[in-house]
Amino acid sequence: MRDEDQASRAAEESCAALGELVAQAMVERQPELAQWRALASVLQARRPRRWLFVVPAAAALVAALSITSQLSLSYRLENCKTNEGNVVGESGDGTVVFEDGSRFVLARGTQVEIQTRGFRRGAQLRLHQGHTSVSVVHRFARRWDVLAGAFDVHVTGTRFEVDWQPDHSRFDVLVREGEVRVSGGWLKEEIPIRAGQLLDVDGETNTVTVGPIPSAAAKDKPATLETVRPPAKAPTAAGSARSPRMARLSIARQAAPARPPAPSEQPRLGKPSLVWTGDSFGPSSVGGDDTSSDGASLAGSDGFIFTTIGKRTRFLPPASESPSHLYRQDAMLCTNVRVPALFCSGNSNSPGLESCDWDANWGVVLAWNPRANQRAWGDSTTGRISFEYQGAAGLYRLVAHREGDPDTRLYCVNAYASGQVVSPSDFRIECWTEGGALLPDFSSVDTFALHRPSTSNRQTLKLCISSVSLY
Amino acid sequence: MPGPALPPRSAVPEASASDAALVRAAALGDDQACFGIWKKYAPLVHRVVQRFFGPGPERSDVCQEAFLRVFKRIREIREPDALAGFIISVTLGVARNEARRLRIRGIVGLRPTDELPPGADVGYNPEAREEVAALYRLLSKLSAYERSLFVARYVEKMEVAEVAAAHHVSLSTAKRHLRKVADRLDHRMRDEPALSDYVGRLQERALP
Repeated sequence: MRDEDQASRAAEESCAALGELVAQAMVERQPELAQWRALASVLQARRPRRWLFVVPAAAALVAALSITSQLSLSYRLENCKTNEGNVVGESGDGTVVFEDGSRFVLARGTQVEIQTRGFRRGAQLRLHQGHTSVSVVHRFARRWDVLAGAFDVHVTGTRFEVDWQPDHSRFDVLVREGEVRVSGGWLKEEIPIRAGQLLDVDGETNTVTVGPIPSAAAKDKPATLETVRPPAKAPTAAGSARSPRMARLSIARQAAPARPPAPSEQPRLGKPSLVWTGDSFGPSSVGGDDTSSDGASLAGSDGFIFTTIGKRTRFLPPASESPSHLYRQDAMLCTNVRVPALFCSGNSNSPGLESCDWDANWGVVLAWNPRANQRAWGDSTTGRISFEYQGAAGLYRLVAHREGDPDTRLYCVNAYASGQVVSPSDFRIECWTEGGALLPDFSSVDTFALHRPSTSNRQTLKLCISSVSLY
Repeated sequence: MPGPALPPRSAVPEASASDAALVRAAALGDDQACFGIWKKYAPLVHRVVQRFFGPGPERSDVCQEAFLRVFKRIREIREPDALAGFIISVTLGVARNEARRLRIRGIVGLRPTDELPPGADVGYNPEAREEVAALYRLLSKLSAYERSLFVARYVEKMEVAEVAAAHHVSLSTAKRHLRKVADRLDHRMRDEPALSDYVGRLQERALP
């Protein structure tokens, strides 16, 4: 037995020596990148073809929808016409009458879209624009909603009115009987509106008011939204002509001195002479109050904020639901995005041999054009500028583009901190390297942008800008 | 709006991300995570494959198949930090299959089983060429499973428990099979003078 153990141990030692021979004799080699490319192409080809499942899934969905649609509440239109799926109130009050007695009265020109829920579970009315009075017959397990822009009025009562003027960011709900719950849009939380209450959301002044229905206008007749609030202002020409992707930035002008201060009196990094703040931002999707028309002396600016992203980046709710991909929150303009991780190939130990998908995945920017026509800022520019922003920790850059330069020629300030005051000489070409050319001045700049670059990790982030200050 | 500037080189992805993070991302289909895993573990896979098959042409097809299986089964990893062990296990499995396939091809006359293929012997120190060639002649007479046990235990120096896990057998079975492999190699080593001399020299050096 002992001999067997010794023989076994000796055999094991021999094997260990042979193993050591292999380990020492072999020369390790680094695999070549071409092998990864070959592997990646096979991986791509072997990915499951999800579309193969789409056809049967779609067929099943269509079948299910066709069945459930038979079980939806039916309705009829009175004094209404249909236009590309929308129901439009015609002369006089148009009415949508559901078979259970629920009624939506549409003011003239009001545009709505009606989506009934399957199994007779109520309906959803999307109010594109205009005014509707709602009277709902409530039943168990039946849900009624009125959607206006990003606002959602969930009906838990019976009679109320909704008014939505997207051109003026004006949203009102007046409840006569019962209760509704309003959420979405710029509201931070769901607000219950009870009988006798009026909700007034004014996007231009950024105010949300809930109060009793004023009685002065309705002593001898029931109060309506038309009688209890002033009409909205007419849209400005500048606002209506602007691209919906661009959020207006209106200007809150501080008291300017009667004459320009002498050089020795000019503040260095003190109080800014002109401030754009989030409090004065217009609603993200529409034109705001153009208060810059008399403010041309300093900046000549009715500038606007907009956001743009790399090809592989995606907007997330609520930004993805806004035409401008911006939304207002706490006196800031914000966007939410998912930036995928950079995909690089090559040897990171050998700079220059590595290539990453920068072109398609450069991240996200919140940008500001000092002038609405996207031309150079001009002679009325300033000497210093700062952006205040909020976002996830990490690298940010402040980028400037000069009118006439190629899109790829950018000046930037690397590792830009919120509120950091910078002058033209702080901007340089390829600011992450040494020795790039300096930006001569701001007068030729047509765009400033706060840039959050993509990184080696996927990022889901919220980026907000609260002010742009000039010094 | 002009396209924004490129981040600095320091922001490029590295293969230094933790295994757990790489595994989680790769399981979600993240190509970059797959690249990170490949970059980090390709040398290991190449080494194991090379040690399994010995001198001869580079077995990049085996390495590629090993990675394909790793990525296909990446969701099966229960402990993402044990990625290295998982990769070795998969690689040895692929190598065993390839060895069996080669043996069958040799049996049906498509290629001799015990002769090295023509071409350069890549990846081995020429000073030990004779001993290494003798060892792999011995190993070629073992089954693919036995060769895999030898490589895992005596070349890669894995613990017996790891060897058992990598070969999907119990600990006691692994011990028994390892002992059998060691006995067979020790016995057959006498037919290869270069090997027995090499081992004898080593053991003499180890004596006090």
